[in-house]
Amino acid sequence: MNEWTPVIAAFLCNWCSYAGADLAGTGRQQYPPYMRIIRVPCSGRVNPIFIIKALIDGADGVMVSGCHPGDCHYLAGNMYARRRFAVLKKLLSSAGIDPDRVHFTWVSASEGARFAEVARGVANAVKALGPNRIAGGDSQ
Amino acid sequence: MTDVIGEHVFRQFLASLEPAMRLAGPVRDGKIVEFREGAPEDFVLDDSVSYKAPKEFYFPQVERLITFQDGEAESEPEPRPVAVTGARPCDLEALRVMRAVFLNGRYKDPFFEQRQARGLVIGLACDARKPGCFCDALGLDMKFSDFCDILLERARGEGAFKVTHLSGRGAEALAKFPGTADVKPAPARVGVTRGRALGLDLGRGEKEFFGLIDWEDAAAACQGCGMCTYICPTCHCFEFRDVTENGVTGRYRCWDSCMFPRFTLHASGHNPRASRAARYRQRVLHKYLYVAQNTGHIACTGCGRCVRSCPVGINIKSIVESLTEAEK
Amino acid sequence: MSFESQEKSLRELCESLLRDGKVKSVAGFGPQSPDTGLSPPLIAKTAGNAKRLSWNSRCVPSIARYLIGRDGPAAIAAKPCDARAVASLVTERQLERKDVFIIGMECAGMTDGSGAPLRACAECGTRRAPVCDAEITGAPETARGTRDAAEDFSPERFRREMDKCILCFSCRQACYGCYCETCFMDRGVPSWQSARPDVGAKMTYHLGRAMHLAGRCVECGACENVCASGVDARYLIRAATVFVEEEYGFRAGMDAQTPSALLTFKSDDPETGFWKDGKHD
Repeated sequence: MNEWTPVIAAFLCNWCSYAGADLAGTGRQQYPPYMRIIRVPCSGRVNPIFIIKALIDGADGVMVSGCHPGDCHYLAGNMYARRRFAVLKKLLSSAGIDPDRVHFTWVSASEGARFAEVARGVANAVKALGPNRIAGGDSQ
Repeated sequence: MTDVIGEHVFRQFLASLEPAMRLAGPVRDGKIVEFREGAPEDFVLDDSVSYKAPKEFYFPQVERLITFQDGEAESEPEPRPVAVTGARPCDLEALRVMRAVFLNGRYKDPFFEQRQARGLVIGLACDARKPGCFCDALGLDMKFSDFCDILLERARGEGAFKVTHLSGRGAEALAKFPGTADVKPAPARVGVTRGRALGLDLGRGEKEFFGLIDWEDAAAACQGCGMCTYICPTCHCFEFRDVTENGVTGRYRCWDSCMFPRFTLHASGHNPRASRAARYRQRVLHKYLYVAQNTGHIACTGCGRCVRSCPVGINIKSIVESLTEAEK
Repeated sequence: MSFESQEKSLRELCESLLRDGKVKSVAGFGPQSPDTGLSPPLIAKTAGNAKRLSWNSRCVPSIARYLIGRDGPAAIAAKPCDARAVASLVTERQLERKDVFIIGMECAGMTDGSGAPLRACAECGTRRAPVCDAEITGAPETARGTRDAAEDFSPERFRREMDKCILCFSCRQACYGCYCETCFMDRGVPSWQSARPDVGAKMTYHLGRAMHLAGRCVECGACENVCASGVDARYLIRAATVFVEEEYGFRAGMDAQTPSALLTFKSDDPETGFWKDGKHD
């Protein structure tokens, strides 16, 4: 039997975290291969419904990473995102969805090592929860 | 009197129908009563009325019709038949309308037909009118409908029903259980008269009704929520959706509602019923004119559910009355 | 002071507003239905029709959304929650403040058919409209303003509520804040819901709607009042509303200028629940 590996959708900002993940790769910093990276123009582009939809359609975890506050390529996209994510996180836990399935963080383009570290941490947190059964599997 | 059966005996009769049949009936959940599958003792057979009609057992909200995989198509296996207990005479008359819509035309709906042909319908006569009910205005008898297999009427005193059967299937089912073997057929009764205390002049064309009243005004408060169509015993519009999951495609039939703008939205972007008023007009005329012209049945049985549940108090009865008034 | 006296003042005011041409229509409540006792929404366009405006304990529906897209200036006989909804719609540029004449009706809370206070009304402590152009006071005193402290936020609760939902979208249609021309649930390309109304689609809808209403909900309870299936359609939104209030100090519709909490930001906003070097903050 193979060990169960989760599916984690990672929404990464084009201007920082996506480049950070790239740097982790070129710097040979290992991070879990089951991170499914989705490039978005800004963490502010991540519609909360993307995250909800990913969880309901069976992703075991979701990670969103953008530029550090103050460094947004579009000036304030991550500032709006910050409030949105805080509320979403609260909302998901109110719906009984384990908060450890969803993670938000800031990783800059120069933080390859940090990206790998965060990705490993997120993967461990999600792995500890086991497979996602939020929608009872009806939807998948 | 052998036709009066104790409530507990009747529930035992229901239990005897299992496992050949699934059992469904009105179940209380918090403030509401709803038709659900359950055990005989769960069913509330008092004077409470379910917020939703029991149509979903013949015409489910979501129903998989066909499954495709690797170029092969397979139709769905027949579900176990269902015995629905506690349908009110208005619900039973609504089934008659549904049957006319689904089975009397050139195309017959095999899914609806199968469910109806194999299932058992046990009606429950009403003791009194509820607020909003108007079956009497449509000439229906709140205590009787012959469109069922077995009919219950609450007997005087507690915990007993007057039971009669109205079909061979009903008689057969009752005969198999010792406690109900002596139940008699219902005495011949004056059938449903469909007396037209409420109703439109079917000789008129639809366009004449478009200008009879100010529909904008009639539907001014409508929020377009579509609840009236979901809880209605006769609303029967549906759409198809194909869903692919893990390489298997299912074709689903799902309820649709004429109160939603997307119901008539064309691919071009044009919407022939673009306003809420036009959509509401469709709902009223569909029930009282189009189905009546096509099948001879008014597709409203006065169950009053939409009157009771409408969040903004729209009353289909008063709108039909105002149309009749304007016809003169 | 009573409903009757408030109703009398309301009719007089609305008749004069319409007669003098100050407004073209008045959104309010009509005479109670003999079947259900509900006062349905009424849009009065003439002084004569304004005589039918009613005020009682069954003026349940949320009526702010009837103002959207209306021609010319309109008045509204607003419960405090309706006034908050109007103020919120003004901040979202759906209404022009100058086009709406808000008549703030002092409110003792609305009741259901049996005379018991509606849940949202029992929780609400706002008797008077925070934003209005005229006010009609005189509602009876009632003890209100208590939120249920021990709300059940378990996965089982979520599942239970979702099982009751029939995806009729009544709660969306009743909500003042759901004015999107095409709701995300109706969108075809991409389709956010699984094409058939299964439990996943219900969860997507309720979580998505709660997210959209976070920081915008005026706690009128329209969504839970319209629900025929008895879904507590507001419980997730309530959690978000409390969170927004605690975290950002914002309540929707308390004035007609401050933008909603999620449409703005501060540079030092708290990062509750964010990943911080190997652990949660």
